[in-house]
Amino acid sequence: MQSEDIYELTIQDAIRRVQGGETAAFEAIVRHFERPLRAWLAGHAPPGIDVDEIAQQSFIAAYSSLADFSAGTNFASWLFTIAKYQLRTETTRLRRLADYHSRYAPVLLQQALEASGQEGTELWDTRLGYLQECIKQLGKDLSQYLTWRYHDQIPIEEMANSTGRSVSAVKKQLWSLRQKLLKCIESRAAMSAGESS
Amino acid sequence: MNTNDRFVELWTDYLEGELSEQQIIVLHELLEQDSRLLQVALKSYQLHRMLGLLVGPGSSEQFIHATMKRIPLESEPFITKVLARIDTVSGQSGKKANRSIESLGWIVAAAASLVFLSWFLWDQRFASTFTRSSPQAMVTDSDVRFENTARSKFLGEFSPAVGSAVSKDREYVLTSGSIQIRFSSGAEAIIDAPAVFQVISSERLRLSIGSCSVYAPKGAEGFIVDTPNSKIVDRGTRFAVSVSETAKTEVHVVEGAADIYNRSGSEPGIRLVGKEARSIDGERDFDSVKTAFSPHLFRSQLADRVVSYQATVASSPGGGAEDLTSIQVQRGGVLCDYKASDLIGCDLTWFCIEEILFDNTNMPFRHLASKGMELQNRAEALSDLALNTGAINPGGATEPIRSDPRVDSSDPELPGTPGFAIRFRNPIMNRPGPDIVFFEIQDLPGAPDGDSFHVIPMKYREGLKPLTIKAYDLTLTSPESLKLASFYLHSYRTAVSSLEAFSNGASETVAKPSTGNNYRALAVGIDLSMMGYQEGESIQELFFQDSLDDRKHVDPVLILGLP
Repeated sequence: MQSEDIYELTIQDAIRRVQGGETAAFEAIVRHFERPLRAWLAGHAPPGIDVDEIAQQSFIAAYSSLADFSAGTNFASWLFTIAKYQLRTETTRLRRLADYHSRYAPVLLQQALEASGQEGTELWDTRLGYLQECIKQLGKDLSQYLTWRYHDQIPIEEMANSTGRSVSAVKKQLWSLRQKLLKCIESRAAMSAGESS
Repeated sequence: MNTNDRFVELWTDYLEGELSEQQIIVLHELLEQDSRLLQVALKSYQLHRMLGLLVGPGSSEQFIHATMKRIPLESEPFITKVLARIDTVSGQSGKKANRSIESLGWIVAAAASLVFLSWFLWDQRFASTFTRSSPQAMVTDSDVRFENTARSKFLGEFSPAVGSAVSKDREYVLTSGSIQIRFSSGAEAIIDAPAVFQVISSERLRLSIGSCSVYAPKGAEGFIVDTPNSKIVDRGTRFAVSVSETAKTEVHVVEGAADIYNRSGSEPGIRLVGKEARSIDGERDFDSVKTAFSPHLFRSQLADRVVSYQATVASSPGGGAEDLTSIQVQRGGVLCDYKASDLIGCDLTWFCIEEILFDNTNMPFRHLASKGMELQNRAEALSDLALNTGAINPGGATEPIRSDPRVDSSDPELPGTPGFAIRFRNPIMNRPGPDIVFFEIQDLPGAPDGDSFHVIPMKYREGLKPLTIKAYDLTLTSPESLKLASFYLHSYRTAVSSLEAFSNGASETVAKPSTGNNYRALAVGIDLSMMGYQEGESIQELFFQDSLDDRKHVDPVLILGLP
């Protein structure tokens, strides 16, 4: 299969082809669901869990079980069911580690994340879209902090040195930047809710 | 420093991974004291994760590429890989049939993954065809059992044997098909895929996602179904529960009564009586609203299907199933047991392939399987009750023929239709559920769900249509599919283009009797209603074609009509 053809495949076509033995067609499925699945996991995975690892495990499990997938079933629900199971299994495993709470997570945060697990899967894809728009609105100086922190993974001390600011000031900058983005997401969500009502 | 500033400092350090154990305890205390801070932390943490996705070094393309790299390059299905591992395990032990509980313990201890455990259970399941050890011989609640299964498949494990115990406190992920669980209290639950469920006790089931139908007869009142946001307590009833991926729960009471509570049971319950339904949204706020009652959500039984069969054990080395002795079929919701001698046999009336076919190893296809060196009357290959004798690898077509098949080879200009035809010795009447049982042999590793095929009316009329069977009732992974006794395989020197060529053509025996060790007999019921036949209508002939969906062709060994 030519790689450009993959973009043209519908999910149902891709499922049929993979079930027929065309492994490459699975890329269309990964491509289609990668973002919503990772976004959902980002919203629910407790500390200590690698979102992309769980997402990949979910896709692999879905691929391995695709022969069991019945036509007519909602594939998105099926895939997210697998992902939820993968996440729960990993969360349970982590919870059993004696030093989990001391190393990774305040237990209340973990419980709050689990409790939020019932929100719709589309919601997180939408939020990710809002966040993308909100980042675009940031000035260069502020978005630079995001690039350093999340892309280049530069330690705060180095950020402080290169900007001539104190470590404490950089931490506050990151805090206020996150708060700004949260407000932006919420205001977009509220605007969208207003438009649709 | 006030509480808020302290939280901001600790929280920022937490996100940077710079908190000590002592500081984590302080942060925990702050979150415990102020639920507002907990919400701030939750939102901030989720944002932090999303920023990692959007700004982080791992782009979508990288993720897609990395995921595809982890997918096996070969298009072999999951089961093939699993079964390949079984061979390895068997080879290492060398005593597959006599593996003891001690070795079970050793292997379980050595195997860290659930999948590996499943391989082993599979191996145990077939260690002796007729003396099946319980595949769930670990910690189980013998009060709760898998009563029935219908084309069920589970994530990371094989479908359990009917009658085997359900492991308590373990989540099962049902990816396809349905299962019926019986509790010692007398309650029964039918769960449909996709579903995630867990049996908590002999009176309690947790349904995280999916749908289930519960029947609690007199004496089983009080049976509980837990969902992510509610608790449904039976008061002697039939009801259906469905839980969506967003935890929205719907309860539909068909008859009797059921009480719905919030998850903790801290608030007064809501009683539902017959033909009432409620929907519960959200997890924290127990927000229950009336919804339209849908009686079709409740299932009182699994789909009609071939449930199991029994066969004689060959006296030859290795044993294995040989002649069918009985069969159990669910027809119209009723379990029916038949002796093989009461079933209606058939004669082969046509067998045709277009040209000599070759398998992956460039060997010509075999078209005859026989339990002895030779079969006296090859036209009886599908009716002699032997599960290791059949007319295999027939011709086929991607799309089933939609006109009357041509079963005549007299005119070389008009070739016959690829496939095979049978004539039952007595008419088969179309009744509710399966009317015909079709057995095929499948090797390890083969098509896990069986080779697909078309069933075609010999004489079309208005309203009749072909039926394509894509999955069998008893598949390669079903514990009920028996390991076969040894048999011979025969190839033909020329293309088999007629019954005459099939019956009398020169053949060569190309395989030794040991062939049977790797084969199972799969079975599927054929419902004539699915082909457009009216209930009560009788037929005597049918045409079959392989569906050519892969390089392997269907291998029928026995076709029987139900009386």
